[in-house]
Amino acid sequence: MSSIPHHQGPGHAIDDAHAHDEHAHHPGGIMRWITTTNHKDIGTLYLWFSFIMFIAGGCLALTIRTELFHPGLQIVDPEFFNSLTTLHGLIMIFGAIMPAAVGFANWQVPLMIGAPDMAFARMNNWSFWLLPFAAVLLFASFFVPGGAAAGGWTLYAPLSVQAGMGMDLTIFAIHIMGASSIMGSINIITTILNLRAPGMTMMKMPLFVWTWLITAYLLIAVMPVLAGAVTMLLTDRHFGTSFFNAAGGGDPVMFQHIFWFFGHPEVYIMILPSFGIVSTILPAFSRKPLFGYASMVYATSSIAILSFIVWAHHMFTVGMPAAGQLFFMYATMLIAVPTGVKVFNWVTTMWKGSMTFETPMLFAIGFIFLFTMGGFTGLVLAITPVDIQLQDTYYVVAHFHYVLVAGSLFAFFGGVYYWLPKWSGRMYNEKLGEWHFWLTMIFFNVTFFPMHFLGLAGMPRRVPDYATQFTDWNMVATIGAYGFGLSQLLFFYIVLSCIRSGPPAPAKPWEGADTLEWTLPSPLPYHTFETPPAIK
Amino acid sequence: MLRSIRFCFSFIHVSRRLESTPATSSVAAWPPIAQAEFCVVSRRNDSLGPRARWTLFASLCAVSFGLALGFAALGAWMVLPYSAAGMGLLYGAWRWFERHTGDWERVTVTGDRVLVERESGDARTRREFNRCWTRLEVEDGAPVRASRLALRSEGESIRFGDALPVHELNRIARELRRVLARR
Ligand SMILES: [Cu+2]
Repeated sequence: MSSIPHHQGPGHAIDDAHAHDEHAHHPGGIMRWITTTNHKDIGTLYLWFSFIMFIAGGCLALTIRTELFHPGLQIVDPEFFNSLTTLHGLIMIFGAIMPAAVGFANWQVPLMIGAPDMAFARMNNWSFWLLPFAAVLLFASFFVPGGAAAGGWTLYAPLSVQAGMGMDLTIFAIHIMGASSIMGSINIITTILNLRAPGMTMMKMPLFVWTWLITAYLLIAVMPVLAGAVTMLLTDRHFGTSFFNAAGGGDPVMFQHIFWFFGHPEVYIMILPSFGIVSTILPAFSRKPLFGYASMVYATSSIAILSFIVWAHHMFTVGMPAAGQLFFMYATMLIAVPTGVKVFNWVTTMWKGSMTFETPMLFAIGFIFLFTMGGFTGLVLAITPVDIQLQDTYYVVAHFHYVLVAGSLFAFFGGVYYWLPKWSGRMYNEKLGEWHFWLTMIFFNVTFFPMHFLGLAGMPRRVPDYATQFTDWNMVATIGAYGFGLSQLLFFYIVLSCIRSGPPAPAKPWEGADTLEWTLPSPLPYHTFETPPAIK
Repeated sequence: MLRSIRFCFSFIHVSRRLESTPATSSVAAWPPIAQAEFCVVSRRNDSLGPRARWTLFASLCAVSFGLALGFAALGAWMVLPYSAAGMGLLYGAWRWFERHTGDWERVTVTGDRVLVERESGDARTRREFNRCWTRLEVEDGAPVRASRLALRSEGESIRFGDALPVHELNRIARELRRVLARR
């Protein structure tokens, strides 16, 4: 029998000698997690990693808010304050949101399309294990001479060309996280396209799978742009090139163009998977199929395409021809159309549904409510003359926190509550989950809604001190931020106590859920869909 | 006997119909066996198919290199090596994947022999059992996972049919068990 080699089909090993007990001996303890190629293990790793980064980035944010509680300089010096805002942004974007989305993809994509695992199981392991190294580099940069990068997460030249060694560590960290993202998205795109079970046609795929397919496409397209941009920063800093260095004939504005050519699609990379999660949760708790499935797919694709032609709306104040201002203004406003289609479809999905309001549904509805507000302030900011007023004020800070916290993060919380019974085989505490939702919802708004007022009144972002007329709303925001941060400890407690001692979950705890993973038992066996399921 | 041969072709027919793109050269990949009493061929589902795969690859190349060349024209040529690296990785990954999309597995019962053949990548293996000493084992996985089929002979056991659709497994198991019991 030794003549028959391993059948190394993607994610699919037949080892004849161990045909019947191959599941019994994967390594235990820490080695299990380091060597694992199982999509569920890797999904778990991604989600825990992103939670740790979320808490770390949150601590930076709370330090920022503590400093801003009062005008004047109290607890940190201005240079360190700038490092805090920079690292808070980088850690939350590359450490918390993106890995969380990949974690959801790892768990759910193979289950939702009836595949046994991800297409490239070994590469999947690598793409996760790169991330802790990048995180270590980022945190280490606080302790090198000159401190961590302090020019904002956008790393604008010429400041970033002149900055200290912390900037080099940040650039390396971005390279590593970029490599991880590219490998992750190649894996996801291949899995979705090639490993679907027979009968799972593209237009039968759950919307979460669709949104991740488009996200992966965007990632593969724009990650090289970011990598190129930071490499040129690096060579400008150390190898005598002058891409962005005006002293050598370079153009600092060029950096902004390149960065935002990556940066705007990046915004959709962070939000599209959340759209997918919300589009999965809403029908389940409305007990109705998703309204306008095909239009959702087309709207997602349009958003992705439009994301390539709007980047300069971040640069209205840099100076550009009137024609350019008009183009980027109208192109940006155009995005409201497919986004409006989505919001309409979500609301219509709930229309006349027999709705119940368990925690995942609460977060999904909270998402729609707050994301729509964030989208609307985006529309306000798209208007060039308004943007010239509001550029670099707290209005912008309020806008993107409504999109990224009330958007991405709320959807991820909803997704965790929705799938945790399936993943862990245990139910979370519904009462506490609802508490977590309401505390998060209220404190989020207490924190970020006043920032609209501050921005409209002219308070600039990324400053450790401010004029005294801004004091009241800053105090409110800081109190809200502490409430928001502490509420997340409740989330941690809910998840831990669910995993450890929650009551056993049925195979399908949500009556209206109809995707493939609910046909499997809870908790999920280590290997699933080794033979393709029948697709109705 | 005729009925079993028909079964063989009907299953190939079924497996072809289930693929989203018509299999072309791959069907000719397994050599025909004359006079088989039972024959089942299973392949993994390649839900995209080579044409769509490489069309998509071309579109990603166009976008990625288009962007990189645009930036290069403006002087920022360092995007280009990363585009090339990304597309190179994608090409390598899909070539590797494609090496295994043609993999197949066949169980044939003919005369006093039971043949299990497999092609994985470039490696083809073939295993012959004595029909009288071979029996079919169905490892019932319900409800945790789908059942698994294995052939056991002289203390050895070969699993097969993992790529078969779940709803076909039982039918094939019944048929094979009947054929094996016929002697
Ligand atoms: Cu933008």
